[in-house]
Order: sequence, then C-alpha cells, then structure tokens
Amino acid sequence: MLREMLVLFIVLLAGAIAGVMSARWAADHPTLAGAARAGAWQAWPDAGVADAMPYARLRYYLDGALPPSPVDRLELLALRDDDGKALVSDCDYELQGRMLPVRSWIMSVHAVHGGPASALLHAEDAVLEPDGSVRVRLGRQVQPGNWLALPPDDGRLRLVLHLFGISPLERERILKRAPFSIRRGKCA
Amino acid sequence: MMRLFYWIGVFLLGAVVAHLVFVLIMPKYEARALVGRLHQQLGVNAFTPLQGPLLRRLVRHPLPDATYGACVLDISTQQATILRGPALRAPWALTVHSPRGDVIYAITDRHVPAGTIDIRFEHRPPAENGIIALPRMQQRQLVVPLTVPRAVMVLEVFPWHPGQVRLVRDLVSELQCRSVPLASDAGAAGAAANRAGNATTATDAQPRQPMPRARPQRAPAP
Repeated sequence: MLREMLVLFIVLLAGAIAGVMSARWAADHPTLAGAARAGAWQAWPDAGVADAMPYARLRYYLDGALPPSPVDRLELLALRDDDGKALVSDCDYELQGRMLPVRSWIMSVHAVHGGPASALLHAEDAVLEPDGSVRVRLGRQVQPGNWLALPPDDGRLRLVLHLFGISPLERERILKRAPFSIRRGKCA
Repeated sequence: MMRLFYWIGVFLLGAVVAHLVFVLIMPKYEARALVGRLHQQLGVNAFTPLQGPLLRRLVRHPLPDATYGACVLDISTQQATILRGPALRAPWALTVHSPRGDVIYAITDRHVPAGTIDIRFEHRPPAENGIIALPRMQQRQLVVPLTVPRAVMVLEVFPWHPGQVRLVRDLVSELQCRSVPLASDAGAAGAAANRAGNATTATDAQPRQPMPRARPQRAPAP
C-alpha cells in the first residue's frame, strides 16, 4: 500500500513537472502565445488587457514584469534574424527598414532574458539613407552610419523596437509588416 | 496492460492540472505578490522614481534614457489620490494596473491638455446595472474613476533626445502623488482653476530644455 502511494506520488510529480515545463514552452512559443508576427519581429500588443490570452500574460510574468500599456505604443521583439538564426553578440547584423508612421521610436539591444538596454538608437538620431530608408548596423566594431554596439560577452541577444504615438489605424498595418529586415554578417 | 494505462492517465492528469494552474493562476498570484512588494517598498499614495531591481520588476525592457516612476494608489477609504506636477516636456505614458496585473487605465501625453499634470483617481465601483463611471475633465483636472480600491500606477517618460534626459528626471522628481478627501470636489475645482492659469503661463514660457541636435547632413555629390 505504501509502495503504491509512493509510486502514485512520483508519477503525479513527474506529470506536474511536465505540465509546468509545457506551459513555459508554450509561453515562449510565439504562435501558441498568440503573438503578432511580422518577419523576424513579434509582439504581444494586448497582453495587459483583462481578456488577454493566458500564455501571452504568462510570458511577461515569467520575466517578472507587468505587461505594458496597450494604448498608443507597441513593443516589437526580435530574437532571431530573417533566416531564423538566433541573434548572438559575436556576429554583425545589418537592419534595413523604413521610417515608421509613428511619433517616435527607439531601438534597443538587451540580453536574451531582458534587463536594461546595452545600446539604443533614437529615431531623432537616426541617419537616413538617400532614399529615406534607415539602415542600422549591429556589431562590436565601430561602423559608419547608425551603429548599435553589441556587448563584449558572448551570448544571445534580443532586439526591441519601442514605438510611441501609434495611430489606431496604423497599428494593425505595423503588426503585419516587418519594420526592419535583419541580415547576419560575419561572425567572430 | 491496464495498469500501464492507469499510470499514463495519472501522469497526464498531473500534467494537465499543473499546466492549467501554472497558466491561469500563476500570473494572478505573481501580480498580487508584486503589488504587495510595491506596497511594502513604496508605501501608498507616494510617487517614487524607479531604479535598479524594482524598475526591472515593473518594466520588461527599461531604457537607460527613459525615466520611470510608480505610485501605489489606495483609494479605498473615502479618499482620492492626486498625481500633480509640472509639464514633462517629453512623451509620457501612464498605466494603471489592478492588483491582478490587468491594465485598467492608460493615457499618454497626447490625450491630456498641455501644461501641468493634474490627474485625480477615485474609487467608483460599478453600478448595480454594471455601468462604470468614465473619466472626465473637471476644470483642467482629469478625474479617473477606478473600479478597484487599490492599484499601481506606472509612469514612463521618454525624452526626445539624450540631451533632455536630465531635465526630464528633474521634472519627474517634482511629481507628487498624495491622497485627498473624496468630498473636497469644490476645493479641488477652485484649485484646479487657479492652476489652469499657471498652466497657461507654463505653456507660453520658453522651453527650458536644449533643442534637438541637428540631423547630420550628407555632403553634396561632386
């Protein structure tokens, strides 16, 4: 009887661990967590509202933060380049995009688990190409034009594009079209 | 064979229950714990600029140039909370979270009249027919009815350019979050009328922040 109870406990515990692991995996999976995806970028624009998808909300709480405001702003996140390879600090990247129809934007580089930005670029400071597009280079070595320095320690990165002052009409359009392409250059 | 199916069933039952509890209950529990910690660390009805680990608990991707602040609103006992301060001269966003973590109110600088910040939070539970009160302008004061007696307000200010960071931090440090009696509407309206005059003066005054840097110009093609 005691042995039966012990086995029951172990099997239930193993099931509980599997259940928690699967929940974490689902929260990290953009499709299951209800992310809006555009190219390499993804966003959870409604994670803060009362009827948000539970996995989208869980994603924020696993990072230990409250979900952001759904009004007037958007946070787009890129963890991989256009070829699906993870963003890492020992590679160079080139981002090409257009000026967005928003009041302002800031691009920032973070460690993969979040935390404070290690480098950022304001829309006000962005140098435009002759055709009006924006090209941003990411790397450890100084580069001409818009350059975001990558941290010296090896590791995965997340790129965040903060958009402010978004018209409700533009919001859906922004979520459907990738604001910047992300191409990997040479790696150390 | 039946015994194997039995144990697989037990395993799946444990997995499904744990999965559902983790997804549906953990965020609410985490949110309540976070609000409780904020209550302990910040007190109630006091505006506090956020830095360090506390900032990372509230904002997922904090920006070095941005300035953040929070105030735990306690409007449960016949009192309102007022957020008041100077015009911040930069884009800002204010978000109010319920104790469950939901965003129950959000506003940005584009949605309020220019000039000083003057927002009053009041507790107004939904009526019996389910109708909830809506925010309104009273003189130049924005009155925001909240359906919960306690909430967390997070303010984020994003300077236009790096040269404006220090000014924005100074302005944010002047913000006040304090409780006032709920019945003092008349007095508040009079004070708001006085402030309206001051706000006009402040708007007309010369901006104190340095102007944005000139955008680099490309050399003309030879």
